[in-house]
Amino acid sequence: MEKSMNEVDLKKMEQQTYRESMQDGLTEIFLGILLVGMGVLFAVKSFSPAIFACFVIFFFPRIVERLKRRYTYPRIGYAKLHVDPPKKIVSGIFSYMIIVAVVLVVALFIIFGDVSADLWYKWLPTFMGAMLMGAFTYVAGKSGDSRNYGIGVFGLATGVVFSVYGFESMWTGLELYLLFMGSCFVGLGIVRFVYFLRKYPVLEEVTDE
Amino acid sequence: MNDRGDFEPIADIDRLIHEPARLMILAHLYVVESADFLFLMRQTQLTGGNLSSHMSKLEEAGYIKVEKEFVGKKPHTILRLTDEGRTAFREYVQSLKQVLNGLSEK
Repeated sequence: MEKSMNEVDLKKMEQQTYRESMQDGLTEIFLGILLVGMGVLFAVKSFSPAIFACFVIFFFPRIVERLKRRYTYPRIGYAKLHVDPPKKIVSGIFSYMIIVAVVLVVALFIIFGDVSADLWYKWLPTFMGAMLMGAFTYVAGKSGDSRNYGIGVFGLATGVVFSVYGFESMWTGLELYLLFMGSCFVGLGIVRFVYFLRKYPVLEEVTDE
Repeated sequence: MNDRGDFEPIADIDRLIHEPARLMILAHLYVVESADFLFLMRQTQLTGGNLSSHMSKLEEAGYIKVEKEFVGKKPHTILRLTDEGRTAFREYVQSLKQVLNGLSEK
């Protein structure tokens, strides 16, 4: 056995398991589709958040699970990770969202001396970027992979750029930001997925008996 | 009854868990809710036969629960730590720490 007793670190093992289960790129692809979908809905001005949220909450996890059963588990095996209670996750997301919104409003007030609705819409890409940074900071903690901090910082920095750039319409920045970031995630996810398929062929000879 | 004195913690170590392969299996199952055979094979780098044999011993001791199902025509085995197994693993880690902390350098 390659691993010796003194290498047994339960926290690191948990992080490694998390990393392994996420290395197929499917999560990035669906995050990208989610962002592109939101961008398109904003762009066509027929935004129906409730229907879209229902679709995302109910269908995305099921679709991802089906794809994992088909492509991921036959290659690297299946492990069900410990998950935080949904109540804790939801309250964490809302608390973080409120903190980001308050910090952004205070910052805008300090910089511009006023917080109008137009100004807020213009800075929505920064808000979305901060949300992405929060999500990837969480993933970095769970996976122990510090590259996730980089992705989070990239999301925030891009949000600031799209907020500062002078678009004609106040919504354009947010729409383009969502489409740009969504496309980046879909691209990253596809690259990781293809790499995963090539790196881990299906082990036909493995039986459970 | 023998007075085991300073060796009491060593004697209390669970020998079933103390075997390196079984320790790896339990450690990997400890950090997840459940895992399948292939996942454990990859993580522990044990052969199928070896893993199967250790799995049976741990199941007999009541430390793990083994569920078998069929995915298509292929057998699929899911393993999870029982509450007893989780407690035994925690106690094993505690005992081992106690023993190692108690070792003094000459």
